[in-house]
Amino acid sequence: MKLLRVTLLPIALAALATTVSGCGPGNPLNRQAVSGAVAMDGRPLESGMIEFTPHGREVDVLCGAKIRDGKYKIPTAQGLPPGKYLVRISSPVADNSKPKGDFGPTPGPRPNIERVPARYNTQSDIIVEVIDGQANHFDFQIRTKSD
Amino acid sequence: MAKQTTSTSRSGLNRTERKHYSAFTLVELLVVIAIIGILIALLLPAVQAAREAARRAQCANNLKQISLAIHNYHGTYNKLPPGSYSSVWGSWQAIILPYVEQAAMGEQYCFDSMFVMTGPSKDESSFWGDKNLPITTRHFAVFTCPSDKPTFLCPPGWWGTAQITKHNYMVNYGNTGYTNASSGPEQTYGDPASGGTVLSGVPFMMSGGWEKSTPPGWKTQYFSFRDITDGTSNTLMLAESIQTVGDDFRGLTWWGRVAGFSTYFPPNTSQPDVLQAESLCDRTADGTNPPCIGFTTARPMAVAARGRHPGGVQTAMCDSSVHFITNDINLALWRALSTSQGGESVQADY
Repeated sequence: MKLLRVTLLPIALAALATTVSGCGPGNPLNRQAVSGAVAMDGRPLESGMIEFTPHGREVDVLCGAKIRDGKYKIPTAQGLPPGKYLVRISSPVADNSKPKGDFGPTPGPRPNIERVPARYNTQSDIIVEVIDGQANHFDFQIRTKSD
Repeated sequence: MAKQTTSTSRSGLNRTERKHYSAFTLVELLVVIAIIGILIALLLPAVQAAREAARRAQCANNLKQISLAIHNYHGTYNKLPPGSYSSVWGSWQAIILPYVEQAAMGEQYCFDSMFVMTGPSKDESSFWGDKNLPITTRHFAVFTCPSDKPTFLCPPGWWGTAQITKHNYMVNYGNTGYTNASSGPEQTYGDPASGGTVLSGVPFMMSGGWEKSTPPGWKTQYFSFRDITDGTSNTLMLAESIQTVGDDFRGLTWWGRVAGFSTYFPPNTSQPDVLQAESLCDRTADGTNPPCIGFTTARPMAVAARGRHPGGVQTAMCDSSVHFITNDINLALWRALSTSQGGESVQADY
């Protein structure tokens, strides 16, 4: 019994520690968590989306997130491998009514109005660099009027 | 522990004499129980993983059955089913019912008033039509992934008070969006010069485009296996969807817009899906459902493949082979797999 107590307990504890600590899904692409804030004309962008496209290399990953109340957050599991990225931001004019006529018996629904100017979106040239092991925090200021 | 003997015992010992037996102390018992507890704790995740593996296998079998059903449909009509007749008049899921051993349901489904825009029979062939509700309020096991929880679109809504069911599989709508019912899928998504995509053939389309020619009218576009010049082994047929909760439309695969997926997005992306309006898909904002956003000219409608299995989604190719695709798949490859006429060279070991 003494033998049992002395040997089995540490083995069991070691096995438990292994189970708890290791054996996760891993992170083969070395993805990094990315977060930040987006403001439009000085006020937080209440709803929209942000997209990071690989810049200057093959489009092997694509990441992005929904912007809620001016903030966005991409967790590590779905994050960006280190490198340069082109940023695109889109925000439809908020429409919380339930659409009725858009379900087929019309020649297609009309798009929502895009609030973000094209230079932050389809014609974006905003480049950010995601760095391994650092706090990858990127804030963006959108100005709707060019000055 | 000791046992006190009685005077009448056969051993003939004295009333007060104690005999010691070898036995466990309380501490030793607790240690043994603790060890057993730890061992069970070690075993439980393994058991859960095995159960998930079994559910995944069943899900893969569903994909196999559906892809074989689509093959049988092709054998009958020499063409693939459309992704859907416009958005509301029946998706591939309703069309192939007779080929998944649901002949009675399939024959009952009403396609008669498709593309009828006015009059009393206007809604008859829609998924909320009276004749179709007995079918669209049912959960079909073959369209349900066992790792997901069967849900329905929470009534009431513009479709009435019926509990219209959600399911788990979508057909391949290609690598772009499918915003505009007037012209079929988008020809590009994003800027092809910087990470966007160009449509290069799809096996399925949300068809029933509104033709602007004179006289204007609806047209349905079909494809067949001979159109898949990239090869059926290199072209996706099906992938998974998730059944969202509440009045989120994602998973409502009776409806054309979410009956297919776009590979512009990687599987299980953190990016929002794009539908007509946020009000169709992201009303809770509590993270229960994946994010979603309304479409704009800069961001056409497209829905990502999403599944409940850890690490990726299950897919079926047009040759009916079933593959598990990880979330980390090279996006260029994932997009190439969705095109039917892209001419990409695809390595077999994805």
